[in-house]
Amino acid sequence: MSRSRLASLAAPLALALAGATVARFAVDRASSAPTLFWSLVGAGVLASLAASAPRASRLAPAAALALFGALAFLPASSPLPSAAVAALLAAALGIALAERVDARTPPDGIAILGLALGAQLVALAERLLLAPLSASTWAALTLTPLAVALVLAWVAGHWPAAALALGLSTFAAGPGWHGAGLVSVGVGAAALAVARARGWPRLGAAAVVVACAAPHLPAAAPWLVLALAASAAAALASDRLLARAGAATLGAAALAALIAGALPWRAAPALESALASALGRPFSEAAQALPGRALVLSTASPRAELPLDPALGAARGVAVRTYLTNAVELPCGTVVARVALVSGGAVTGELALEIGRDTADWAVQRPDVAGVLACPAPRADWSWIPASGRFLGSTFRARAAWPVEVAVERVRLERAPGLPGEVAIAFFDVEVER
Amino acid sequence: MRRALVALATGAAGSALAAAALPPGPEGLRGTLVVLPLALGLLGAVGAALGARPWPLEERVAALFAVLFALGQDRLGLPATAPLAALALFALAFVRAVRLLPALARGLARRSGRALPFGVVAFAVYLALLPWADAARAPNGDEPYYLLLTESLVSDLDIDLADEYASEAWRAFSERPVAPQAGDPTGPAGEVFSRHELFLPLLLAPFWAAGGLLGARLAMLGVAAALTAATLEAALALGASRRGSLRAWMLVALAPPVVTFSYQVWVEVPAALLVALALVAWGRMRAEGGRWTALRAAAFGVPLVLLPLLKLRLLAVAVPLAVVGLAGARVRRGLGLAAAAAVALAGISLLVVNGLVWGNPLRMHGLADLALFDVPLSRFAHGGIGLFFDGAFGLFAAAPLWLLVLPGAARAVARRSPVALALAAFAPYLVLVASRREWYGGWSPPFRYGLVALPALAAAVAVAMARRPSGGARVVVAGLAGATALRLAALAAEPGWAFSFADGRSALLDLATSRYAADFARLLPSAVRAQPALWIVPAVTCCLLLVAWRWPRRRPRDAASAGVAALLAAWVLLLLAAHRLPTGVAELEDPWISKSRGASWPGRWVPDRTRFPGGWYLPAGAEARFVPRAGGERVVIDVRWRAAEGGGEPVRLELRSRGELLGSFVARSDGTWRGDRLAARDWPAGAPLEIRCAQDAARPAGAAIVDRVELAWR
Repeated sequence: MSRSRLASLAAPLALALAGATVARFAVDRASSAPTLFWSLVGAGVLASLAASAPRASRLAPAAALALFGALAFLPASSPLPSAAVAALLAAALGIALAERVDARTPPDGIAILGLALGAQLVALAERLLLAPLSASTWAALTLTPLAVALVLAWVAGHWPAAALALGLSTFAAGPGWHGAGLVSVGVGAAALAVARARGWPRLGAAAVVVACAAPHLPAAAPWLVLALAASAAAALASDRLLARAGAATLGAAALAALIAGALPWRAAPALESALASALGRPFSEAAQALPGRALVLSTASPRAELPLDPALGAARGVAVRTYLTNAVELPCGTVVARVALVSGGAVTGELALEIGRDTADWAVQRPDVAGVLACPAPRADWSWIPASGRFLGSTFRARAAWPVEVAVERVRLERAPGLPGEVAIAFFDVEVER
Repeated sequence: MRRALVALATGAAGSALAAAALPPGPEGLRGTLVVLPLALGLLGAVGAALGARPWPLEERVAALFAVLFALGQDRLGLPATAPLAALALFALAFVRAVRLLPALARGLARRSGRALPFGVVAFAVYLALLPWADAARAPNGDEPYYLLLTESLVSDLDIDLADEYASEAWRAFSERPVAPQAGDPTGPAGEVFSRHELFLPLLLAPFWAAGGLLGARLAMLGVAAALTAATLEAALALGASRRGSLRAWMLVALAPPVVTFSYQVWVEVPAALLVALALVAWGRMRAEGGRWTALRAAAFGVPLVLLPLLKLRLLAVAVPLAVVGLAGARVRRGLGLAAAAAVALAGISLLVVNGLVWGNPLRMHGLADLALFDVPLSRFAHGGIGLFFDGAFGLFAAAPLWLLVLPGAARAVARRSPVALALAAFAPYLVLVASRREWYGGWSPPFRYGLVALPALAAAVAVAMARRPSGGARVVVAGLAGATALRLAALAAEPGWAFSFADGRSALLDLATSRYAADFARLLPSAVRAQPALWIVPAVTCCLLLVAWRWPRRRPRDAASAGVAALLAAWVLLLLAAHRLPTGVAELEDPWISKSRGASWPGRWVPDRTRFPGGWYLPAGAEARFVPRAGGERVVIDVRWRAAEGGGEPVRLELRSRGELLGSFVARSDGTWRGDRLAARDWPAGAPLEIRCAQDAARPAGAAIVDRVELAWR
């Protein structure tokens, strides 16, 4: 590696150092583990981009600064820093792709390797947390992208657009390259070699790519499939659009990471709900009943009343983000809490939180807990890194909506009577929507 | 030109469409979505006129995402996304402006009208910030009074504000009542006047008549944009290179403090514009052979005459600049006499009018204000250093890239550049404001009192950046640019953080302090709180900067990466130092000290803080607690405190550690500060110190005010 490329590692290394320091001294200890984790992952991704940059690029320093700002100053103990970091990393990859993939001069192998390593690290980051010393983890994070990069570099030397489409579509299926993706890349490259040897037209090459990529797309998130299909089509249609299409694709992934959660840290909603969110009436009127704090209902304090902004007046729905503690043995369908909208002393709307449908124990992703759960957990809305232990904590979101507006002055939260004494329910967000 | 018009029309149509189609939404965010197309249209028009690349696809894609994000941010299930959405929208305009720089640089080769595109670009960027920033904070400080005066001029053509106060005309721009300030002049028929000068309201009146508060805000945006363009011309006229001038313009236009002042109604931005115009005339006169022509003299003199009409204290800028302008220049006797007569006449007229209307030629001031020889030297030093280095309201804290003034000024002096003379002309004014025992810019963004000198400071930056820097300088520039970008991003997301508090604190610094429980305040200069950092940090910064500017000369391999790495390393060192250096003094009002109840003393908005030892009001039963960083095994603890007024009974202050009583002191509420000491004792590392105002059930509750705790380690 040249000294110039080594010098460009300074910013990613400093990000790791600064992130570790921030994690060490943060007052909110719950934010320390995710801060440290994301700063190391961010440093790894940026280092792979910086070390493979064709010339001194300002991308890695700028991204390092932005990541540092997100980790050090965004509200801790919330999904926001993780979502912001995921979006920033995806955007950095998109910009790097746009910088390096030039239709006229194919990217060199080092550039592709940097991109592949960085993308794979973003996609499979949680493996480092869950099984850091496993050989398969290290192989997935290093050998697989190395193999993909070698093959794609050869393809890019002849068909840059095909390399992009093949690489992105097999990546999207994971997300990240796994065994099947690797095989598809290899088969695609071999087929393209045959196509080249036999002088097939561009359409033939495109057909090879589509045939190799198509089996993977159903496994990818729907919004990502659409973005990839559009960008691959654009890339194959005209070489001049290659770099721009690549940037647009990964840019879309960046937005999606923020909106829907492309990474395992937040569950991706279904396509229809993502579209409804994008096409719905902007600026939904909502009031946050728990601004900036959490509330725990237990036997000692089973009930809470939360005043709402009087300007809201009426509501069409309520959404809560919660988790349970010591609730592993509760059977499915057990109502653990009720969220009631109250106006003038009367209940005007109610959401009954059922275990297995609306919420679950916070540690359901811990292997020893997952094995003894009495009721399978719903999909986590947000997965987070606990202060201790190598597993992901889970927080769940539930929502109730009414066809007509109901009057509301405040929200009443009530732990269900009859629950075992040790069960507690933690509320992190209580949002009343109009 | 056709492309420019199309871009502008498209932007305007987009804004009109957004205004019609967007439903009511969060204050500020909706407004930003409405004005953003117009701002981007303006930038597109400038780009088209200068032959820049069309709006690149990747930026369009980013714009689409940012708009979608802003529209749907409140349904993402993520907290606090509105500031990020506002930041993303502002970043679109900012990035577009930065990417226009090559085209703008090419335009500098023209002789006439070359500054206009720069002004338009700055205006567009400020426009993109306006709705969000305006919604974040209602007019405050002097702003409501300038706006009320403007309203009075428009509605009834007088300056009597009695009817405006009676009719609550302030409701047009504020939900908080606006009342006459203590000491405002009154008339025999019950008139209530404002102490504020009339010139700015006169300028704003037509805009207020046309568009109310929005009209006034847009007028101020125009003034700020004109300031940036005039500053560019001033730097060029003073002999700076195009390269340096372009970078100085970037700093003035796209970084605090002008960005944060751009939409504010203060006299400082128009004053800086007048200064810039005077510098342009002076520089061009020098470049044209050092002879004043009538036209050039008028272009120089009129702004200087207008300066004290904006604010009387600006006389201290106008006179030295006039002296600098006349010294060494060839002036025809008749012209010189006429100019001197005009200046004298203007000055005397101002004093006479003040005397007649207000009964005092100096309006609200007295001759005692000018008695600088009575002011202790240390106050000049505090104020002067604070104006630039203070962590809350200093220029270098607002935008660290302004530190380039230091090597620029040094180079200007070494080369006998006219920039050095221009800087010297501000020395009397800066000495005057440095002597003022107040808080330099409370209720306003940072560097309010120094803003008028910004054109000359920018010229110094232009000198520093005249050539492509090499070696350490490039790393320094990259690091400072990174710090400035972070600061600007924070202010674009949370515009309220730009405003310093009267207690000398900064919202951003307090956020960091409470988030990391770190005593940052002791490591940063503060003009309000005398501490070693006030002297050490500026000295060390100057030395490091000047050394780094010269060494190493060899071009670094990746200056941007090295600069950002240096910046992040500086953060690590700051955090480590805040946690590792032994605690010598603990100021109770600092956020790293946890308090169960109470409030900072005196209240946050009490001005002239150097009159008070800032402390914490600790009511009976309340406790302050912190873990000092031990600097030895034994410690002597001194506590400076007093009983709060109002309670007749003695107040007892207890010092404990892990619940064990270390000692207690009793005081009566006679207003005297006490210094009480605990004898040397063993202090295990990590042990907390708890300070408690004891509550005695048999006596009425009292309260203690604790200034500080000093720990001498043995």
